[in-house]
Amino acid sequence: MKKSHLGFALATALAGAVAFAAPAQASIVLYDDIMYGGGSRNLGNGLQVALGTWNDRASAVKISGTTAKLYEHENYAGAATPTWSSDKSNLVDERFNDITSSVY
Amino acid sequence: MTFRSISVVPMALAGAAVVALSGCAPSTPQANEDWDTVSIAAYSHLTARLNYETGAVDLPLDDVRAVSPEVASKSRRAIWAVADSCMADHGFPRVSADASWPAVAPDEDRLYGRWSTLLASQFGAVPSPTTLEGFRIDTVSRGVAYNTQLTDCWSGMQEVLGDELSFIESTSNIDYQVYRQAARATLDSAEGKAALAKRTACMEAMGIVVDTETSMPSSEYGAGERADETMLRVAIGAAQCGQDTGAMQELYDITARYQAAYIDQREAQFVALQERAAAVEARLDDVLRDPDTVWGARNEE
Repeated sequence: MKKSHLGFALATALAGAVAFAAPAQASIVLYDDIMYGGGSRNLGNGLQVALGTWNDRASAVKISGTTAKLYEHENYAGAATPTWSSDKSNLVDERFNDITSSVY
Repeated sequence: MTFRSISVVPMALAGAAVVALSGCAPSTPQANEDWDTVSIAAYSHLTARLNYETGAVDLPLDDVRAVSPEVASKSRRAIWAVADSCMADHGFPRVSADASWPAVAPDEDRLYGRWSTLLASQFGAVPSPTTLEGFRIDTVSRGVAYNTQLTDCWSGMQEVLGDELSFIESTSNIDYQVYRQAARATLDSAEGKAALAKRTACMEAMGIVVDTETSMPSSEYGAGERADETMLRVAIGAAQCGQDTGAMQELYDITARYQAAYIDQREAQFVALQERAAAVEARLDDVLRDPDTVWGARNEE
């Protein structure tokens, strides 16, 4: 793990802890598998310029109290989904399976 | 710009409005249908108009998209209006009434990376908060009780606006598919690859490490959420290279031609899309006129 990734991991771990400490707040949650299965990662209110270990991994997303736009590349670049405000249980159907690299 | 000369886009599509290029996509093919190869030879006169201040670009799809910037704004307001109605039912304040909504305008387009040097210097990688894309209503500061209820109300909103959201947020709509397919075709074309190569050479001359797979600045620069000094330098450099080499103009010119070709090829689908879009917009207008009644009707069911 390179230094920048280590810093990212620490920052996201902290962000995740904060997000889980207040689970009721607006949130974007990524899931490993369709139908919200497998592991999950709570992004809080979104704004993830990079996803670290969750790069190219999400197959479903739950959205509450906010909107989310998934991008194919880091730094909010490349292919993007429409802006979503509702849950998506199957990113295969959305043509965005296992390619999300940043989220706004 | 000569989009109007395209044979299809014309006009049958009354009411077609300009729209934000919210989505897009290059390298990863996840289409659900086969796309015939199209020739863009007849469209070589088309060019895209890039606004280097706002990062927005005018393309043929703008005229036939399902969700114009106006409709995108309406839908976002309707979402919050319905959620607010639910929250008010439970004794909480309506937050969207206090929000400073951004002016209706096309969102920045980052299909090939951020190319507005101005925005890169201001925000690094983060979208401008003055756009609908970058706009957020802060609910965290409202406290736990508010946010706990908001979770339930958000689910209720998704039910009330289910039909509208499934259309507005759909990746199955023909406009979204054309947008992605045109981008894919652009990146697969010899001209597109040449344009990216020019930008890459420029960035590397600046000392920026470029990811060979994406032709974007290395993901090593993507650590952290803040526009730190390195991120700013890289973002600005990448944007400058996109502009100075002409790569961005070339990429979007090619994209415009593919979009026009695909639109012409699928005219009937676009007519149907516009009919559905008009119905959805009408429903959003109803919701915005009286969200409490809409919410109340849901409770009576």
